Amino acid sequence: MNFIVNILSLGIPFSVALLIASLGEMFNQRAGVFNLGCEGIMAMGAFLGMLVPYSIGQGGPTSGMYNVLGLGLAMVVGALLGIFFAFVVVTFRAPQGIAGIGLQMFGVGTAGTLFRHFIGGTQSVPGIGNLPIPGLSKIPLIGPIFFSHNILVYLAFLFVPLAWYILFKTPWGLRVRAVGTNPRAADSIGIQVNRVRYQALAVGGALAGLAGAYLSLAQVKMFSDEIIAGRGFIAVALVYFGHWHPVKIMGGALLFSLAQALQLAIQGQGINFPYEFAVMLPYVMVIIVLAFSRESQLLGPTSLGKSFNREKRV
Amino acid sequence: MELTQKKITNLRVEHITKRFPGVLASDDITLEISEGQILALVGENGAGKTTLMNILMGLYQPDEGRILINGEEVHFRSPNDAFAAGLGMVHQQYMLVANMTVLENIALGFKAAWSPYKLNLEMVRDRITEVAKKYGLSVDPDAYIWQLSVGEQQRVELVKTLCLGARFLILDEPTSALTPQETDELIVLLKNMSSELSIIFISHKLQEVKDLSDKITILRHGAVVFEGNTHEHSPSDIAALMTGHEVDLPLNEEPACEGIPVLDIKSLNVKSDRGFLALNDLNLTICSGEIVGLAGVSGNGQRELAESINGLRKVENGEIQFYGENIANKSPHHIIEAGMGYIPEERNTEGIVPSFSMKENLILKDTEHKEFSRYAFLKNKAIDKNAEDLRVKFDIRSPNISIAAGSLSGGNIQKVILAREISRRPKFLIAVYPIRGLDLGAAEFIHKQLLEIRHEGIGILLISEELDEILDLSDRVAVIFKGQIQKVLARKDANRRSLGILMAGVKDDQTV
Repeated sequence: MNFIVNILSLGIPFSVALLIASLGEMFNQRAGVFNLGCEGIMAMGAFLGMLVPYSIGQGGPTSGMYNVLGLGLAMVVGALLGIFFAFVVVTFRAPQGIAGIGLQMFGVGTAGTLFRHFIGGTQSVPGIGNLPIPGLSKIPLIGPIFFSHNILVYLAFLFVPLAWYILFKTPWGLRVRAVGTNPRAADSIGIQVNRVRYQALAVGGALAGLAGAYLSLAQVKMFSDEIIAGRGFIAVALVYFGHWHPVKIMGGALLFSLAQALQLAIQGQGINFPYEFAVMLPYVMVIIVLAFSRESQLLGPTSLGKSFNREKRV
Repeated sequence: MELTQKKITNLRVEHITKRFPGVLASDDITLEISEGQILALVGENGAGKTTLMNILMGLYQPDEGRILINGEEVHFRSPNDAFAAGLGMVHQQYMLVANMTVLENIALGFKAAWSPYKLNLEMVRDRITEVAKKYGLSVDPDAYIWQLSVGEQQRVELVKTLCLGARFLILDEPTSALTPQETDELIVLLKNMSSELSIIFISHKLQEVKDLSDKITILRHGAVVFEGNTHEHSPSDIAALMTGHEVDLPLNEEPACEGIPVLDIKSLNVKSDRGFLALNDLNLTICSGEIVGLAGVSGNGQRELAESINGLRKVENGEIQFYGENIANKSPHHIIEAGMGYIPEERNTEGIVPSFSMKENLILKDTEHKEFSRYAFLKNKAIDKNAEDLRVKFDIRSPNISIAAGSLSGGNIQKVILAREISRRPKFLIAVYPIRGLDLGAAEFIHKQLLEIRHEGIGILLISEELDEILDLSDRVAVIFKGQIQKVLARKDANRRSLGILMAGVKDDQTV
């Protein structure tokens, strides 16, 4: 029983970076743009998120404030990178796949370079501590699993219904869904397709930046070149896996993270199982699930990946 | 621009000119329409009708010219400006978002319902009810667009346009996807609406133009070639003005050929993309040297039938006997080699490889044949000669044979496909919507070619929604409804009325 509680209480905070990044990516894709540069924005977010508390407030009494500043800076730069990406693929209509890979390499490379310049070696920060919820965290089983995490974990899961509401119940969400599915229809009814795509990419970028800063401030509490470790790409895959729906995306993020927690637990328990295979487990699981999940043409953004040009005659 | 409720008593465009790279799409066009009038804008494909309307709606900016409403000049920088002035357009390709509901689609343009944090769908719903009541248009606000038939989608487009406050309607080929009954209903509806609104109606179906419009303007190559009152001119006059020459769509007047059955389909069951049975125990026999027209509203299994015969879709059970061989579930390669010719529904995506050159597309089915390849190499000289010969024989208008096939016009793409299929000397031909979207000149040419190969003894299955096309060419007419053949009629028994009733699913005449 303890073993299971361990996996669950470890897996849930693991899922947060993926959850935030893939909800951001969901807004991108719902608007018709897939951003493979998510990984790069996360790397920048991770570096900037930890840079603020490391350089001005290391270990000081008000480090909570600096953490917030770090998260904020990560989100602002993430949004700017999203807008930059929009400039390339929306305004100039560059192919999204290639441009995304470019952004990924740019982000990861720049973050690593700046890290060596400003911080240098391996340095840890106090980061964001756990905030057990009074009362609830004392409940056996449920307490340690659900109510003994840092504040971002709670906020990330609260963001799931909020993202659903934004996407399906607000005028902005309606516009996002329309420009990703039939931009010509949206245009004919007076919606500025490219403007909505810029907005969605800014939101997606901000969330990717936040996800990266979560890793460096709350999960690992340090920065290294490999901190993102492919999570940006997994986030893109989870959006497909979750059929562009926040709740299903949350399911995917949890599935992946629990598999990761499981493999760590297997290693920790000293069970005689080659650890190389254990490490592979979550990735293999994503591939299998993606291979067997049926594509749903009826619900997804059917203009995903296509740039919009009003005067191009069809 | 402020939203006005003012009536549009007069709309005038003056000297509109619009150039696209290499094309003069609108050439100094001037036209005028007053309150309560219905203007038919007629012309062949590429004549510039849709471009002109897109300019009127603020989707394109004209290079020269101006637009006047009630005598005052207006500038439409985006569709929002045109809506605000009271103009609304129903596009030929419906501008609806398939994965959203009717309500959401209308809310998309209904800015009054956009409070920042919440979409006021109830307000939109009230507006829909109001419009539906006023004009007698019923729609289900909560249905998803993908669940609706083409006719229903068009009604949604009309309701949408009216909900957004249109007092001047532009309809771009509104009947191109409708059944005959739906077309009749639409015409009645538009006539009633014209007491309150002005309508510009784009079409190249001359009967509807006669039935509906007060005034007619004919465009050719982007310029106005004729203006006049509809009742003073006959459909054949209009057709001649539209194409620039006398048009005479060919008719199949030969006696029914007594060939042997060559394609014999027995209790065929095939599933659709969504997994339900699209063909349900379908039986149909076609002989050599006859054209069987398959009439039906699209979505009743036509696509699945054509694809399963050509090996592109799995047959659940049943037989397709082709010259004595069961070709059900054989590979497309095998079926092509057995002598099947196919003009597919989607000419741009299934009929050609758009990025390949015209000459490559012309040998696409014969890349392994000795005629065009030796060892592992293509015989370029033979390929060039083949293309040059076919270009002349099939009157394909292209600058050269190396041009990307996708850059040709729809009519010329269809001629490339037809040339490839016919020059391979098939034993049978399946032609799916062969003239859909083509102008009269190209349609005439394609119909003549089909009649010619019929004369040579080739059987043809002609799948179409155009009753005129089916009635002009067929020896027998089969009506498909919900994946079954309702009835097969001899040419003498088939007419618009009898087919329309069968297409709507009524099996015997007694009920009507």
